[in-house]
Amino acid sequence: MKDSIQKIAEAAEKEIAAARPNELEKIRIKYLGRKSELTSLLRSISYLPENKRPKMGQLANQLKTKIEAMIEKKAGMVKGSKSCPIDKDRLDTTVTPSEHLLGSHHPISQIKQKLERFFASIGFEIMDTPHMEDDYHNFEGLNIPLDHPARDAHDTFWMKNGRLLRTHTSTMQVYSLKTRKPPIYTINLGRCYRYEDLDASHENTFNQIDGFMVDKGIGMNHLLGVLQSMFEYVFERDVKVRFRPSYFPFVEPGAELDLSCLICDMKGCSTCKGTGWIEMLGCGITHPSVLKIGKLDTHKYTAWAFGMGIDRLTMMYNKINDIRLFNGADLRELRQF
Amino acid sequence: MRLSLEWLGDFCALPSKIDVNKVAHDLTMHTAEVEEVNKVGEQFNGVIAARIERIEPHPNTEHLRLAIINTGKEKLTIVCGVTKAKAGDMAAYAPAGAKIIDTRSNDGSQLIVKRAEVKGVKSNGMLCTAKELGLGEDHSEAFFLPDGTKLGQDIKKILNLTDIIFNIDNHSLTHRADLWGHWGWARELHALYGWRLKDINLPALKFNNKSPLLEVHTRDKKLCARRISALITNVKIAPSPSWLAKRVEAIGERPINNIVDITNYVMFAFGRPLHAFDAETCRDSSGKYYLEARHAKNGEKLFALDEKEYALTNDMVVLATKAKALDIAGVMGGLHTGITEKTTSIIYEAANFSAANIRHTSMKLGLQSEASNRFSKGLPPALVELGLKYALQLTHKLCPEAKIEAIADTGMKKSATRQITTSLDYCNTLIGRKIDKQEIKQHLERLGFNPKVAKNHVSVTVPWWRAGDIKIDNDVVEEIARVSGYEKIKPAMPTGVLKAPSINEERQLEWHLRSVLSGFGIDEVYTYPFVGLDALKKLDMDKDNLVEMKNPISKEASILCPSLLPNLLQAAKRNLRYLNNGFAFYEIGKTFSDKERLVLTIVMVGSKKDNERVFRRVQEVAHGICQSMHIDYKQLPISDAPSYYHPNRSVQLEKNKETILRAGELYPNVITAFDIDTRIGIIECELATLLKHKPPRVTLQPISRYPKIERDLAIIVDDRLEYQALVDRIKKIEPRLIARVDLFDIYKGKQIPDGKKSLAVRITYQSMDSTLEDRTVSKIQSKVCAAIKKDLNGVVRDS
Repeated sequence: MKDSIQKIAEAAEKEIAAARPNELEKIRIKYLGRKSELTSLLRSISYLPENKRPKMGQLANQLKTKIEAMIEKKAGMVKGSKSCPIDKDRLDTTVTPSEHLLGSHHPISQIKQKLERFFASIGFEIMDTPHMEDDYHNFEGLNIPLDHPARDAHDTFWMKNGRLLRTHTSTMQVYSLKTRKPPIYTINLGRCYRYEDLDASHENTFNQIDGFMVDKGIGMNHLLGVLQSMFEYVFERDVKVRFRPSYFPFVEPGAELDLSCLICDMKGCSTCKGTGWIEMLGCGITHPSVLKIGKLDTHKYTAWAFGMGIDRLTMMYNKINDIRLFNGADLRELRQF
Repeated sequence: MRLSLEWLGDFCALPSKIDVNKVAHDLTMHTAEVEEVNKVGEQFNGVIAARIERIEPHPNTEHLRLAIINTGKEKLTIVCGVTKAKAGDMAAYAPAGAKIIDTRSNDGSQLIVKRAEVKGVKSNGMLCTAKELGLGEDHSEAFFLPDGTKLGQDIKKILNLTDIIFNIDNHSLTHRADLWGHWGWARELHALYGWRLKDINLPALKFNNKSPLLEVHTRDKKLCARRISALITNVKIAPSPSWLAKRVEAIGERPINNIVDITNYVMFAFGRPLHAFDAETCRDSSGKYYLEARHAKNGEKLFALDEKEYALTNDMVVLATKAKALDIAGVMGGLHTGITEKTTSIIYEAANFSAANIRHTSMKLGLQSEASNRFSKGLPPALVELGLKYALQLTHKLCPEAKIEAIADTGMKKSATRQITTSLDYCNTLIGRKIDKQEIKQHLERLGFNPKVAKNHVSVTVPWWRAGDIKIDNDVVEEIARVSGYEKIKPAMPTGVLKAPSINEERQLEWHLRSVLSGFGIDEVYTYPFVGLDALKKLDMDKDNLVEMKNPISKEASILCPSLLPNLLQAAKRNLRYLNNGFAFYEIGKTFSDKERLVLTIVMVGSKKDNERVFRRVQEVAHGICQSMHIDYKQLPISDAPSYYHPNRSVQLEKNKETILRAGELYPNVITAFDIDTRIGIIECELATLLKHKPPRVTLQPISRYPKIERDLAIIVDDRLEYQALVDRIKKIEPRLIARVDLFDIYKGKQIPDGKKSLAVRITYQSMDSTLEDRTVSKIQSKVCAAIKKDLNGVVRDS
């Protein structure tokens, strides 16, 4: 009988150790239930000789207590049981951290980054040219002499020191040609300034990107290809693009680029005024009088350039309807980005 | 500008059926943007002519009357409110189903006329007022039609309301002086569709420069290359005939009289401004007519047609008699020298003023006109004669009795024609599409370029009307590209040498800082680059090297920001209205003073309760920035910093004795000046300086392989003793073996005397080349204790 008790003890210990929490009740019934080996063993004690009964009874009861304790201990680790130490660790996890843990990047910065990444990935160098400029870099060098009617479109902030705030990022073309030899692949992104009255779609401090490519055999088809890829990279979808004739003194032939309306997918809507197209930027083949700054053979090397407003692109991208958000520094708005 | 389709028909043969929307699209895609297409008279439909047979009173009201009308087919009764209409008048009648303007709404929306009973009488439609037809403002009387009008005819036919108006975006015409008149657009239609151009045959001008009646001079030929004056007498001023009035109305001008309308016709037909003087105003006492083009005198004053007085300067040109200036050349005529009903003799002035000078004058005076817009685009010299010839022909037609007395010319010279040869390879490369030679030839021919196509090139003669914008081969290529169609260009990626672009390190640093600061929970903002003196004063900023603007938007935005702080602090103030539990933002932007700098400025707004938190946070971010860049920096007390830094709550991080960044709290007075009532922390640094101290790469430093021994020390020192001094003193004792000194508690209060503080520090001993023995450490530790006592006047508590 002593052996049987020992065997039961061993088996129970093993089984309890290996048991999953939901099996413990079954194990308890198996070892301590009315039909269990131990119960029948306890009943059979009365058949033992009198002198052996107390000893065996003690052993059997010890085993019973031990199994109960093992089960209890094991169960103690179980979720929901009173003695569970894990339960004492309970925290109110519904208390959540601030909804604004990380600082936001300005939406214009984010679009600028997309543009920078796109152009860097196809071999364009990112330039940074001064914001306070002289007349030459902003106008003369770009084939816009004094009293040229194209200056009408550039309402300029002038400084008392005779300098001006650049009205476009195209100044970069002059710097590129002065300091680099072809092939020249450069972009310039940043703030530009024009004397404008503010409203939902006009800013006096806004952002532009200019792209410039000088190489052998460069034509308008390449300009169109790069610009299409640029929009596809930014919007992460297929787009259509087309040229329309236009005039900018530093390009010839000159064009405006229309982008297929991404709101209505060219079905015609209020944004595209029913045309299916949205005017995005000015561009063209660089005028030879600009290329001459680089003392280049203007028939051996040809070039294209484009200039685009980043604010309007960002407004399209993030569905922002008022340009004044960008310089407004209102964290309630900016933290959404 | 507005283009009238019917007017275009004066210069090219229009087909009988035209899809005007297609024309608008094609012009947009090949020439310049058509913003809008309007059908004249589209505001009403189905209105016909009817004769009023008789007028009867309304049986039930005094306010209305009954008109019995005849439409040619039937006689109908109409209830109407008109009072002047009488039997026999021809009037505009809208039968049921016709569309007219709903005058109750002010947005020009339409209504459909219905049969209705008005006060017990059935009305078969309406008699329309001018307002209901959009043909005038009158809303009290029927719109009358001329006698003899055919009954039942659509009044659009009667009134000739069949025109189409194209609205062109002027911006796209900056370089095309020829497109500032209908004639140029007729040539575009010819180029696109081959519609035949009508010949303009005009008799040659008979110049008479020595006329005893007319004396003209041009004083500065640089500013006025050519000028023709024509004196005409026996002119009868009268309203223009309806065809001319209609032309003038079509482009949005008001018909005035025959002579003024002729000058407008010539301007909008050929883009050729023309001025008509009342010749009597140019007559001197001897009876001679006199007109000279000369520089204005400084301070000379002139009342212009817009009834404003302008003060002129001597860089401007005026047309003048010997006595006084009559007209601001190329910009606007004088108020008292124009054509009036009493005028009987006129002088037409057609001149070629310098484009740059007219634009300059116009900008300087803040005065733009249809004439100055055209002059500033650079008009071809040959247009002077053409415009005047056309005006003379029209004058002869409208006033057959008028007599040309003299035509004087100053500056006549034959302008040279320009030949341009373009390589076809170059053309195809630029366009990025091979265009057939024959096609090229056809386009250029229709544009009037008289092309000669050879094997590898095409030679053209630039037509005189394009002298201003076709100067080099690229210009010719654009003509070919746009007429053949920009839409046909297919996108292609360029092929070139694969080469990694050189890296813009400052831009990379910008992005690095953005991600570091984002990790600290700081938001990026942009602010304006303009500031006013008042805001700078609040910060007590240096006034040297300020960049002042010549044409600022306002006094508060009249200086280019020498620092991002003022505008960021104003942004903080604005945000405090909505966010009150502490926030922080930064801007990476340009500042302007002795030079342009790219700087990072961070503003951290504390909550009112916290005493130390703002500074500690600012310090963490400042150190975080330098650590993120692996700069081996040192923190030092602030020195030589702008006065807006709190002297006891600011630090600077240095490398090689150069300040990399400053971090601290704002001086309390400054915060108050910005009307803020919480502590504000700021960090300022220049990106170029950060970059300068950034090590090119990180190289691994060996770590000790031997165990460390830690000893804690509690010290009571003077409250003003700075922690760094304690660390420096401890390390100095055995720099090779004291690996770290870390503060883990500061205590002031019970058991610590006033003016003292208790610091708990842990000293970590570790050697790079051996296992330290307890003895060694104890020896150093007692030296440390001795030094603290002796040099720092500290008390080491039992350890």
